[in-house]
Amino acid sequence: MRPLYRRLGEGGVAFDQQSWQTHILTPAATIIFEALSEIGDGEQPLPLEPALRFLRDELEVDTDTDEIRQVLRSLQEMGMLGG
Amino acid sequence: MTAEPLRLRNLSPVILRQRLASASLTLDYGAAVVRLGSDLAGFVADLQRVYGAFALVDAAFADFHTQIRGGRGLRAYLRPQSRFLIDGVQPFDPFPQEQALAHFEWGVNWCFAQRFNQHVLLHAGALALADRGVIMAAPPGSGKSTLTAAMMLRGFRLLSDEFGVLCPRSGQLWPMLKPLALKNRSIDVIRDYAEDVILGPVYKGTRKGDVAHLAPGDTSVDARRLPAHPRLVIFPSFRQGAALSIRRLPAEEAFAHLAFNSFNYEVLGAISFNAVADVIEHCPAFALEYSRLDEAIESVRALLADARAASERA
Repeated sequence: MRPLYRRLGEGGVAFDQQSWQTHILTPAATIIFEALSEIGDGEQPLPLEPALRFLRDELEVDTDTDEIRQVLRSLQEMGMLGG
Repeated sequence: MTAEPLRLRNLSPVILRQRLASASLTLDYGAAVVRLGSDLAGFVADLQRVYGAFALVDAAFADFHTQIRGGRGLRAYLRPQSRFLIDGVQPFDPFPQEQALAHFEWGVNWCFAQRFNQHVLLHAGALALADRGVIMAAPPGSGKSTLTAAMMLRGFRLLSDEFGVLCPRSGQLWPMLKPLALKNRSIDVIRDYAEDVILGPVYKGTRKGDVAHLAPGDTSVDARRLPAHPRLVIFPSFRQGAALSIRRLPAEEAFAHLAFNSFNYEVLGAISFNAVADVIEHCPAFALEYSRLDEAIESVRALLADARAASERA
């Protein structure tokens, strides 16, 4: 089930309807969340490797930083990204 | 012309005692109605003082049926106690009888926090100018109640101190108009702050330190059925000697502070998620550090006026 999502200013918040956990998204995390939401089908998790490639190649995101790794973990917890 | 209601302060103590003895006194807080019975004479006098502005109402329905009763057996005479009952059940330990009003206030707060899940209960004070609401959210000890009390005494309409009652359907803030519980140093600060301050007795050495209750004013009580639209979120903090400092908070940070400090955010799930997000989407949020009450109040007034101007431009 797709998380509920609200854009708030430059950041955002997401509510995981399965775990009832709320995720606070920094502006950087918000960009990633929105980008991956657009390319996903909303039902199945996106495979991790193509998602990382998309972030690196299309958005020029350095996926090896602690902050981005934390964002990706949150997206995996929400079921948006595969393992 | 609307007739002046019969307020509890104008009621004969005999009549008030009869009402309480028959458990037929109704306190209308706005968002909730509480029915109360008691047989404790000292409690009746304290209640009449801090609830003096409340109208004597005959409500057919009450959300909570409460009682403050004396101790049983030896405890009726030896170190007398007060017992708080909800629906005839005593949910926690008795208090010393001289602290019965504090016990009642604490008990009613407990009832709200446990059972009032049709609304999102923010851990926040709420005030308004006309229908423009200010949410004052902060952890205990931050000076929130002191500033909330001072704002009421300077012309803001008080909606609530402890519970910011947010209706998830309408997005409005409902009054939950209880006396403000002032603690420790803030009791003297507020006593000296204005001439028309009505304070209940100071209860020394309670579980939360020294506590006294500030009576809500007539204007706030008479408007207890008028909700307000959230327009501004303030996270106040008092620091002795601090210069006034105001910092706009990123919206996602404001959301986290407001949501995760609410009483029932996790109980309501998606309902509270959307309700709090609606507030943050429409209200600028600021961290406000202060040491002088009047200066802080004027800054809140200015921020509220700015928020209004911004929403009219939008």
